[in-house]
Amino acid sequence: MMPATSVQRPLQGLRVLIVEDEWLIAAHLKDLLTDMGCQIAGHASHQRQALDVASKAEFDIALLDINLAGSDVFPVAKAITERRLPFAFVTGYGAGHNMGPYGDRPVLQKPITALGLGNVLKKALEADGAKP
Amino acid sequence: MTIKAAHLPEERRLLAAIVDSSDDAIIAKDLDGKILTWNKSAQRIFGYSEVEAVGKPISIIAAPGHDEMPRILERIRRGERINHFETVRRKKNGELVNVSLTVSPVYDAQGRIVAASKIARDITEQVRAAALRRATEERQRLAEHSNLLAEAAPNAMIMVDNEGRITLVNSQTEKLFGYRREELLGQPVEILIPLRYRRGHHALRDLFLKAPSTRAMGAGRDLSGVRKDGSEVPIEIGLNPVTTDQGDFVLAAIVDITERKKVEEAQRRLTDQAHLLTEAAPNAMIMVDDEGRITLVNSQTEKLFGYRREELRGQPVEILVPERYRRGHLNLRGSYFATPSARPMGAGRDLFGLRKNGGEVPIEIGLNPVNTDRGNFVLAAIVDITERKASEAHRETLIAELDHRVKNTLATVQAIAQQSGLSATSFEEFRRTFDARLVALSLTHNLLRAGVWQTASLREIVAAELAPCSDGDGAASQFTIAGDNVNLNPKQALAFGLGLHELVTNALKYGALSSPRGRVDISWRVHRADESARLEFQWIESNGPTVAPPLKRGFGTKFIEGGIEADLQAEVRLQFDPRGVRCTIRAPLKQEAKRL
Repeated sequence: MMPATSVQRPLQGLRVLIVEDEWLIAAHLKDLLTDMGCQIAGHASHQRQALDVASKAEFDIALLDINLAGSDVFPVAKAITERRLPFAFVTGYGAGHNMGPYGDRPVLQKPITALGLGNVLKKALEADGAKP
Repeated sequence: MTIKAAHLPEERRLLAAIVDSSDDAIIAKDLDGKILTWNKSAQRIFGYSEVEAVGKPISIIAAPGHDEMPRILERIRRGERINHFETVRRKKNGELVNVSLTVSPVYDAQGRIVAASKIARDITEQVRAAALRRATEERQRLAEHSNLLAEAAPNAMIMVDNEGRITLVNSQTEKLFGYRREELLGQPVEILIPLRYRRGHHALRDLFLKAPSTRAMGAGRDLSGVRKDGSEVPIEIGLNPVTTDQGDFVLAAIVDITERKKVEEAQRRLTDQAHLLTEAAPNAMIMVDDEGRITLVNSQTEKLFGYRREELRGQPVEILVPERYRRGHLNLRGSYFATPSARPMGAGRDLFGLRKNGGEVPIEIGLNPVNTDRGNFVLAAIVDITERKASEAHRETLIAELDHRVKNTLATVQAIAQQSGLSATSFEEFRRTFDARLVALSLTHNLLRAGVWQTASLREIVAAELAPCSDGDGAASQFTIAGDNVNLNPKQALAFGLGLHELVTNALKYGALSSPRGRVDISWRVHRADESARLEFQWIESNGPTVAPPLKRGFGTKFIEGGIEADLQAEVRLQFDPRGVRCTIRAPLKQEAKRL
């Protein structure tokens, strides 16, 4: 459990796990995150790899692409939820997409802007901090 | 005439002779009714001789039922006279005789009434003749009336005797059959019957005569008559036995039912057409009465709900409504019949029908009130919208996928722009490299579009990306392409396309394609094992300038090593061999064609 004051913590040094099946988009995300002072805790591009990383890697927050080369990312979200770590979705799907049990999680719509990325990370951290 | 006492025998004789010569009975009686005189005609008319009658009471000639004698005597006593009173008297032999009586009082010398004189005329013949005349007149009038009646009747009427001969027809008969009356009278009635029925009619006519009764002829069968011109006419016949003093007859009343048949035929055709129409309708159609009972279904209904029509007829329509909607449907049905109108049912809601097997089917229902003389109904036209629902859902999915793909592509373009920006040393360079990469991406999109976004051929991707080098003077001779037919899924295709673009660009700028003698050999093979297949792709440059490894890893290098490796889950080897750049890509192929 993160302390409530963590919402005030700057994104500097935040360890981010990227689950994104397109290398170019992942590369873009990495650049944007690095520019914000975040660290890249890992990158997975398909479901099996992502499940492995999500359950083992050291990270503070995860950014999850929903569609991983035809498989969905929800098992990964479940693994992260079980570790009580925050995450946000990054997706090209519209608002009407079925998000399963994760409908209340923050979502960043593609294409990505630095501002949008910063906001979704903060939102995910705040939501996590608000939890009992 | 008053008889006065005759004093002279001569006068008396003369008087007696006159009295005796009269054709009328002349009788004198006293006031008590005793006969005093009785002439010859009295004897002739009543049968009693003078000797037998004189001294007897006048009542000897009284007829039963005609007891007016005492009243006549009473009136005589009062001095009244009775003129031409017609009555009946009885002869000696008991026969009755019609008489006309004239009775007068007889006075004595002192003027007192002492007797009555009675003149009785035998009028039997006149009475009989008059009765006969009246009867004849009556019969004539009756015949005239019957004739008028028959002529006024809207139907043809034919009287047939017990030998089957026509004895009477009315003018309607002439009109109906086209014969003149005189052509029919005396003819066998079979003249009016089509040839094929004549023999049968003979037998039936005999049967009728054996047990005559007023009834319709040929009950249940279609009857027809034949006209003089040979044409036939549909008819209905009522038979009436008629017994007269001239024998037994049958009166046939004949109705031309041509018009009725036409109407019936038209109705039948209409019903048939309605039936065909409902059967041919692509929709299930159900007629429901105002108590909610199914009265009619078509074959589409049988198909849609899985019931045979006899299982549905008479059942409440709720049999086709899923349990959870039944109560509501009952209420709605009631209110529909209160204000019926042609409209779709359950506007805005999703409707379901319940099949016999318990399955449900999404439907759309149009309601039409149908008012007939047998009551108020509603005709429900039911459309199975399973396929429409599925296609709507499919379209929704497609649109969602398209949206996702567009967003992803924009993100990819954004990433390319960003990565191109990182490598570019000037805005000009950025613009050139970014534009070229977008074109490379778009070339692969074209090929994927041709493969309905399922697959694209590796050969075509290679050809497309090499196209810029094929322009002009024999540059095509600088490279060779050799490989199996391989289809890549969209993700693989897009990565390959961009990767090849980077190789080509690098070769044109620094490598083999920068020199007219340089060569590029592109080849690939597919290695198949049990379940899997692996692609081995090679890019080998030769005869170009001596290659030195790049000082800075640009977008191209990063993409080939990182992007292709990640997106194809491939092993990538990019070598900057001094003799020429070599790139080897080993990628698994047996992946489904996946969505982006």
